[in-house]
Amino acid sequence: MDIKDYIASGVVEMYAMGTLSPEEKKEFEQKMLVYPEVAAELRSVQETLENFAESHSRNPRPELRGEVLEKVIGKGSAGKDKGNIIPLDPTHRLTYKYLIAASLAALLISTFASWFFYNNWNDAEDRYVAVLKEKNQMAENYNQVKNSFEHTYSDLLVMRDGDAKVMMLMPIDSTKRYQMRVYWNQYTSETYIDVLALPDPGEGKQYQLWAIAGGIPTDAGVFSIPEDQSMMRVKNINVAEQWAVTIEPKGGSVSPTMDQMILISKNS
Amino acid sequence: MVRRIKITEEELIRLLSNREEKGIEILYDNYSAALYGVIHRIVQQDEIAEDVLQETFLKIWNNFGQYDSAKGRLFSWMINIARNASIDKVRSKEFVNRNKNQNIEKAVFSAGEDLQSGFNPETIGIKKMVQELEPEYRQVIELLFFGGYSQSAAAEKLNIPLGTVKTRSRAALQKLKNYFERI
Repeated sequence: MDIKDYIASGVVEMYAMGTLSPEEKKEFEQKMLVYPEVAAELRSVQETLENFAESHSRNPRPELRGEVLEKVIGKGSAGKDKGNIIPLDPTHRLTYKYLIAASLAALLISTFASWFFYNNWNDAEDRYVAVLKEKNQMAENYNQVKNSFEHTYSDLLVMRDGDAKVMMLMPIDSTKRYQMRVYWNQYTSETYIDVLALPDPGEGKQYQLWAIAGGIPTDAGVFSIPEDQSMMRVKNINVAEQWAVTIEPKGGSVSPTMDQMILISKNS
Repeated sequence: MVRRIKITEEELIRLLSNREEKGIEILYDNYSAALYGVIHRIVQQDEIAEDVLQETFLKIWNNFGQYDSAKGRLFSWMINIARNASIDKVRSKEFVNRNKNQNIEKAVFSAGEDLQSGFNPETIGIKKMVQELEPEYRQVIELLFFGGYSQSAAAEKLNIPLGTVKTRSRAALQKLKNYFERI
């Protein structure tokens, strides 16, 4: 294409008014470097457009000069020692208002939440303590039940022992209702007693059990009435034909005080 | 009328390249009225025109490194920045919503009477001459220059062949050139 035709195509005006595509623009700039006519034409068109633009001149508000320059230089010189302080304009102030309102709201909510959760925590703590107490109570009850069961069970084991002889001791004075049982295993020598009813032994006195064999009494141990009414193990006895209980001074005697005998079994 | 400090374009370019604040001050004093006129012609509203003018000077200052004197004159470079910023503004959603009943074509075609409203004694003569430009030439040049239309878009808008747009825009600029040279 002849350069005159190129110029006449209107491409210079389009370039000047910025309506060329990027490729056309590039082509034009290359042509401008090669053909001084193109550059000269562009200068001419630009001058005309500048005049055209100036023909629309309009003076802005005089105050705008300061505003624009402050903004431009203020922004442009960020990094210079002038600093880059952004003044609080009304929109910023509004933003701060919202920020303050938001933080107050957040404070209020968190205070309420703290109070709420503190109460909840206290509640939970109280209930926890109550449950703990209940649990301890139940453990105690269980232990009691367990203990009493163990006593009962061991009593039962004694009573169910097929090798044990069971002897009922009856009162000497037949008008009284005193009674006691002796469980004696002649193979293992283990001896248990089961108190049913006995008179009060008196101050400083205890009961003493005697095993009698061949007319000779042997000490089988001293005892008091057990609080839990369970059976008691006494001394191991190897030989016994008859059993008797006397009331003796505390600690027992070497031989029975005959006039203090309260119970005796039948001769087996 | 702001007093203009006479300065060569080369000197001004040097000041701006060195980011000397004096450069932007001179620039404002020499070109703000012309740029504001172009911007106002496009956006039609004082408040918005002021925003765009500020934006234009910011762009000139911050992007001055992109200016290449081999590719055109400084003033034209600045006018194009102002034009593009204005056209972007007019095409923005925000602007369109705000001015539903006043679109860009209307702005362009209401140009005639608007020419009288600026009070710049220096350019009154030129304005008169621009107004004397035949309407078919003025329409084309205004659509292209103020409307940001491409030549083909302008052809479609005016319902004339693309070739006609090309010849008219060239002829319009030639006529304007002649007018301006006579002053």
